[in-house]
Amino acid sequence: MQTWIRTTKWKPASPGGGSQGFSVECSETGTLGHAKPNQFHQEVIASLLADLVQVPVPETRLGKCEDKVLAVSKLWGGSSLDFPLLRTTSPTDASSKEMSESLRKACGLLAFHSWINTGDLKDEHVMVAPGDQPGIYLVASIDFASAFTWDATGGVPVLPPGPPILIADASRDASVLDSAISRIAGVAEANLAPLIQSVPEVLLPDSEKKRILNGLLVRKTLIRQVFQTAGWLR
Amino acid sequence: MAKVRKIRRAFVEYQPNLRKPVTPVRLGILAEEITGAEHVFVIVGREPKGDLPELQELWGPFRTVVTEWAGVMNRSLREHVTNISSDTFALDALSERWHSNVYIVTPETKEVGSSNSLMAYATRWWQHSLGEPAVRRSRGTRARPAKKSRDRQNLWISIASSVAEARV
Repeated sequence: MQTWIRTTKWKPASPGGGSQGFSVECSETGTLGHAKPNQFHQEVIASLLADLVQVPVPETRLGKCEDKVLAVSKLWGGSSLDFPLLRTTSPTDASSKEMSESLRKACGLLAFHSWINTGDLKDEHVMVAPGDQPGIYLVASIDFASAFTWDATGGVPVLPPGPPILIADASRDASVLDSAISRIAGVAEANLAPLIQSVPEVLLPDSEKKRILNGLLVRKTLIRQVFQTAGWLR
Repeated sequence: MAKVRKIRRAFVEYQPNLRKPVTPVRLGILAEEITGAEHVFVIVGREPKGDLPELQELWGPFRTVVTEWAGVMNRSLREHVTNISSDTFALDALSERWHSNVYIVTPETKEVGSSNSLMAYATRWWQHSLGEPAVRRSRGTRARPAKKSRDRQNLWISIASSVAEARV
């Protein structure tokens, strides 16, 4: 577990949901991050799951700062903007065909949000970074503090009501969604369980781990029907 | 005795690389004063020209947000002005929206007693923070700086503008 110290070298997005986040810098590597002292197991598990099903979410791992364990979301690119700031900065770029194409490539996030039941879905949580060359954008989702809120049954997945920019018709690609849904449905319990177990029990009791794991298993096969009914798949 | 005025102010900084951070570059200062039902805002600072080494890899909106930050912040401010109450500084809400590479440092309140304009205060604070004038003086009012210093200055465009007056 890496050790982090507070820094003023940058300022993170305003934390939502009372997570009281702050800027940190890794004392060993100098890497910058966004520390989240509250509701952090959701952030870590969401990041691990996103890696597993290959949807773009910045890496978030447990870390230590001021002798406390917390989640640290590592910065995702040298430069980035959330979508509303990008739109204010350059409305032309925000509505360009290149941006729409980049959003379509990232729209598998919608299936992911449905799977893990992300609650706080707004455009401020859609980050955009420059890709390899001008006109290529990378899009990612942040802030999963509100995710995994289901009961012991796992609940029923629903169509994500946001983020508005990602659910727009021009931002959705049926084949990208289809692939993401297939990857989620194909995740085995043997792959899921270790990710959830990687959070120490002192931070997340076993009963909570079981609830989360059960929900993920129940919900993963129900997402396709939800998206099909909405006409978001071919 | 002059009436005490409260001015909310915040510096704007730029972190060129979030992955390999360096000391942030100070870009300017925002100042806000509420006078009756009116919010008065001032932006003072500098915008980098395109030949700063930190900007060479940037393109599109990631470049614009740095090279035209004052204008972008002006637009951002106007977006927020519609949602503020008569007794709440808009700068705090704006500060929460500006993060990542170009960001607004946490605002602070300064109490002042004189009748100087908000622009005069903001300009003075900016000059003090940088140790150099925010707005170029007319030719002949001060000695020419050394060549190295001139070269450095030529990479920046000074700005000083009263950006919005919103009646709420």
